Amino acid sequence: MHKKQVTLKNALRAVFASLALLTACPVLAATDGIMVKDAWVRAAPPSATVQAGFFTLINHNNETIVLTAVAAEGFGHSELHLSSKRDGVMVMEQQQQITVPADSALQFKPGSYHIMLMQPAQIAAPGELVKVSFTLANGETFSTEMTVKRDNNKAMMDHSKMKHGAMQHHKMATEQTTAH
Amino acid sequence: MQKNTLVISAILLAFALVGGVAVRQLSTSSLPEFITAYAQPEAIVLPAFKLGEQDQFSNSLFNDKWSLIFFGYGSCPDVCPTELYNLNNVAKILTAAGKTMPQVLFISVDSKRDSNEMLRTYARFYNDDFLGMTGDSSEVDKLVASFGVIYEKTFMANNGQYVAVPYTSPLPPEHASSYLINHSSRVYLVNPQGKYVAAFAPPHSAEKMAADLAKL
Repeated sequence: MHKKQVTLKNALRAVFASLALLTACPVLAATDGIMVKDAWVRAAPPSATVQAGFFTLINHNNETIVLTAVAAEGFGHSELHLSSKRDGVMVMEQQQQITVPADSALQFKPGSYHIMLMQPAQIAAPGELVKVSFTLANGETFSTEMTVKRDNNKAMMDHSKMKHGAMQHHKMATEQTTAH
Repeated sequence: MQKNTLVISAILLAFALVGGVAVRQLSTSSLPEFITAYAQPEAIVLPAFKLGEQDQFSNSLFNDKWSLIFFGYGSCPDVCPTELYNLNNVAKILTAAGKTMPQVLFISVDSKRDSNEMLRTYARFYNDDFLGMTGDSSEVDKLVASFGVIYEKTFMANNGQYVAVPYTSPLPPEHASSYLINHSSRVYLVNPQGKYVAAFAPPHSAEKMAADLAKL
């Protein structure tokens, strides 16, 4: 009985090991180990000239990744940005590089790291999806879709059903990203 | 001997503290005890100002109601929208509690790029009752000085470093319209007599702000 269990375990191990080999061997792209979660673009008035995007970037790779550029469909120019408080004043600055260490996550959130979407053909309205592509220092690219929302505060959401839909969307976006 | 000095010092300190609290309470006697807002030691009288389309907004805007003021600019992607959403959340909490939300003024310090029409629709996007406005830099700066707001233009120079200059300074042509603005992100509270009485320092919690404003 005991021996049989061990054998089964070994067999499973062998299966997983070969699966891992199969999936790992063909491409060793860093983007395979990158996940984008909870991505959203802050809705803005039609008269606005810029919008900001937020998300959590998870680096499952055992190496650091470095974001160097971002582009968004429907916007002429986009930049990686960081808002911070300096001497009591909110300062926002473009970042030439944003580093995410191995096996860690970086949260892009209001008042901190974000992507700044500029020169809109038209301001993206709530419910729309914005396709965003990132470039890494090694030249690889990956893309994801970000839902336009007025607010990401779950407690403040007016329509819980909408929220549910949005969450499913994020999952889809994540799968698209990892399947890249 | 040393012990006596210590005791006397302690007594003096206690008197000073009590005196300080008494003076503070006298000067801000009309204000409730806030949990998050910083009350001004003394209410600050605001100078006469004119803002908005055809100078439609002046000091009378503050008459008979509480007001919250936030300074920003129209092409601010992160801080200003986040703040206006937060203030809308404050409004939701107060309204749900049957309380009155103070009127909200979003004043742009970027009058060169922002029009009053743009700011009106901008503020209204976050809440139908929010007011967006700007005016001549000299008018904006009167209020800026009273509230102690700091703002400056900033742009990335060719060496990749950010350079900050006063708002009125000329910029290199390639940055003439693409500059960013560093600015204070406090929310200021003005009483129904048009005096600046307290400020909310970031980070702003809608719940805590609403709790303070509900006491007015």
